Order: sequence, then C-alpha cells, then structure tokens
Amino acid sequence: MVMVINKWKRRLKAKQKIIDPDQELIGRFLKGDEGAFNRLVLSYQNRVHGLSYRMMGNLEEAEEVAQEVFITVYKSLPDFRGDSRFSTWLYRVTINHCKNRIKYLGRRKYYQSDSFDGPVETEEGEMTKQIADDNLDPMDRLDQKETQALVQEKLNELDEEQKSVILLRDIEGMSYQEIAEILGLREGTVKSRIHRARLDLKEKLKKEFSQ
Amino acid sequence: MNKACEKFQDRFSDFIDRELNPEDWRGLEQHLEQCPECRQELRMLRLTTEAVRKLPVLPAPADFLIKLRQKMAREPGPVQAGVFRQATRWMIARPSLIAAGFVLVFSGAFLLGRFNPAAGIAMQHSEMDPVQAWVQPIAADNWRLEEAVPTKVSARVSTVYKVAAAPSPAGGSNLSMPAASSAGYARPELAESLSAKDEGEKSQEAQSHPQVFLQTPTQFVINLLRSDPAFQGAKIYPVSRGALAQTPEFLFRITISDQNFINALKWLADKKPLPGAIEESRKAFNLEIEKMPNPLKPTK
Repeated sequence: MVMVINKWKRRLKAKQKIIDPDQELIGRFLKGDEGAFNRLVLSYQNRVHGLSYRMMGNLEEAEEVAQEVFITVYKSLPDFRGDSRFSTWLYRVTINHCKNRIKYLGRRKYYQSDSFDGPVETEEGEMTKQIADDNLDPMDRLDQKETQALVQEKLNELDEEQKSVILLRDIEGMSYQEIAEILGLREGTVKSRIHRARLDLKEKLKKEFSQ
Repeated sequence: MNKACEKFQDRFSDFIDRELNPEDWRGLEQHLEQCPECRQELRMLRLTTEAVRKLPVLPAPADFLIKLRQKMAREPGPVQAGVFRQATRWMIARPSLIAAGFVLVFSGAFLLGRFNPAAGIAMQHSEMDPVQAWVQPIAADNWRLEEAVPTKVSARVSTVYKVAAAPSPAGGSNLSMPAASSAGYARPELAESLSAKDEGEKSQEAQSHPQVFLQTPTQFVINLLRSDPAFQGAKIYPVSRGALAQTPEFLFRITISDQNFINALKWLADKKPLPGAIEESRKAFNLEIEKMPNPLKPTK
C-alpha cells in the first residue's frame, strides 16, 4: 500500500513543472507589468551580451544581437510554455540569433575583414593584438592576457555548432545536460562535439604559435 | 600514436570536465604516468580550455535597457505586449461573445433613440436648430426662462437650456424639459446640476482637455516620463521645472525651460499624442537631460 502511494507521489513530482526563479516576473509581465520585463532584461543582459560577444566576436554586433534577443523574448513570452527554465529558453534564443546573424553576415567575408586587427576591448580597457616574442613553450603563451584576442579569433574560425558548445561549457560553465537541453541535442552528442571543438581549437592555436 | 593512446585521448575532455567515472579516471591516470605523448597532448588541450575559460565576459553597456526600449518603440509594427495579445486571442476564441456585444450595443442605441425624443428630432431635422425645435416661442406668462443663456460658450461644453413649463395651453402638464445642446442630443443629467453651473462648466472643460489644463512644467515632464516604457518602475522625484528619474543604473535630471514649455502647450492643444520614448520627447520639446550614474546603486 505504502509502495503504491510512494509511486504516485513520484509520478506527481515528475509531472510538476520545473521550478523557475523567473516565474514570478514572467507572470507579472504577462499581466501587463512592463516593469517586470525591465527586471528580466536587467538580470540577464550581461549574460546574453557576453555570450553574443563571444559568438559574434565583435562588440557592435553583440549589442545588436542582444537587443534582438530581448525583442524576441518580449514578443514570444506569451507563447513560452514553461517546459524548460526561462534561462534555458533565453540561451536557446540567443544562440539561434547569433547563428542566424553569422549566416546573414556571410561568415567568411565578415571574419576575413580587418575587424580583429584593431584594438580589442577587455575588462582592463583596450588592448592591441600582439603576441609576445620570447622563448616560452608556444602553448604556454596561452596564459598571457594578450592572447585573448587571438583565442577569440580562432574561436571565430570554428563553425557555429562547435563554437556554441564550447562557449556554453567553458564560458557559461554549463553542464552537458543543460547544453543538450538548450541546443536540443542528446547528451552524448554534446560530449563528443565539445571534445571535437577543443581539439580543433587546440590545433589552430598550435599552428599559430609554431609559425 | 597507438590505438590505446587514441582511446585515452578521446576521454580527455571528460577528464578536464571531471565527467569521468572513477574507474576510467584511474585507468587514464595510470596511462598518463607511462605515456609522455599523451601527457603533452592533455596539457595542450587543458591550456586551450583554460584560455577559453579565461576570456572575460563583457557586460552589456549600462544604457542597454534604455536603448532596447527605444528600439522597441521604433520597431515597425507593434511590439505587442503580452496582455494585448492574450486579450485578442481570448476574443478570437469566443466569437459568440463579440456577437453578444454587438447585439447589446445596437439594441442599446435603438432603445435610447426611441426614448430620447430630442435625439430623434435632431436626427430627423438635422438642418433645424435643435434648440429652436424645443423651445417654443414664449407665450406671454405661460413660459419663463429660468436660466439665462451663458454669454460665453465654449465649443466643447454643451449649453443647456432649462425650460420650465407652466401649464401649457395644449398639454397642461408641468414639465421640466431639458433641451438640446450644440451636439444635437439632450443631456438631462446636466439640467439637474445646473444650479452648480459654473463649477460644472469648469470641470467639463478640464475633462475635455486634460493635458492642457492644470499642468505645470514639472507635471508635464513627469507625464512624459510615465509615457516612456523604459522608465516604468523608475523612481520619479519632482524638481523645479522638471523631474529626477532614478533607474537601477542612472539618475536622470530632466527639465524644460519656460519658453519650451509654452511651445509644448501648443503641441498639446493640437492634441498630438505624447512621444513614447524620452529621447523622442527631448527632440520634440527641447528637454534638457542630464545623465548621471545612480548614486544609490549598490557597489560590489
């Protein structure tokens, strides 16, 4: 008897919707509270902007995409069913917008332009792309700040699928499961894609340093 | 690289991400101790991963929300709010309700038309002055005008004549007949309140021009701020000739000079709608906007 009750309890638990910390704000927005939408934007703008910057590799494009993401969210929130967390959905929207934008810009043409020769903004302000010339093991230079621009450049050379898994894993620090949910892939696929992406990136960097 | 190495190297990412089960972990560690090639390979993969992890996350610009709201205001086609969309969907799902609404409105209009003789006549003889139609020539002592017609008549405010009828030769009933206004329909409720005519007229006027009357520069700026969705939830403090608006990131001081305020009143008198975004308002009314970092923003 107890076992049957426990079984039902478990089933009920499984059926319950995912507890989402943003649920309250979303509810308020759907009732017409524009301020609630502002709060959602404020709490996610940095993550969305940061991710789109790494995906796009360009500040202007990143801001443009991030705004598009929130406009999409504003328009489609009434259709958001709550099957996943809001943040998962938001990352999915962001990744999709970035992929579309990269396709639209014509990947090769855009990245072959001189957008990476100019100064690159970092937390510490602007810096120029330069590679230290010393006698360290080439790969050890990856530790140095100046190589950030180079890493970004090589990231841009990966295809969008590889880039998105590697960013979600290594910049956003998400689990394989979360990434699978965002990208609509199986966990095994995410695993192998992350590995593949890291190998490709490593090869590109190695080639750059051994020149 | 031999086959065994390949098998181990496939697991390097799992190893870096700590996603290996303890058994595989031990196996891999044992192999690494013996194989310098694999050690070097793992080291490079780890450095690559670290390099990506060390990339700084660039936060959104501080005015991101304001720019976003401005963009949404410019967006071609309405960026529909959730509520409006839901309401439309709700209505579409219930056509019978809309039908019922139509029936109600039309039957209401029909009934009003029937029981409001002034309206009927005004409609039938539209070229006739509706007042003339109801105020009969004063026959000696039988009629007396209780209220004088106000000399100054606002275009918007209905002028109501109250005609008190002494027993008339024809009907013989003691009627208080409210009669028509310039718009051509009767407003009986106004006739009742005519004793307080002056106040009535004033408040009517204020209602029909809510934006023009009773507005100061401060109130005007606050209205502009309220009409900008980006400032929803912002704290607004009135100051002389303007207001302070505090958002999570910034403090805005928005003021308007007297001359520009007079120009703004002309704009309002033309009944143009307020521009939604404060940036548009700034252009339209020459607002002076000072943007400062929010002094109350918590520091990390």
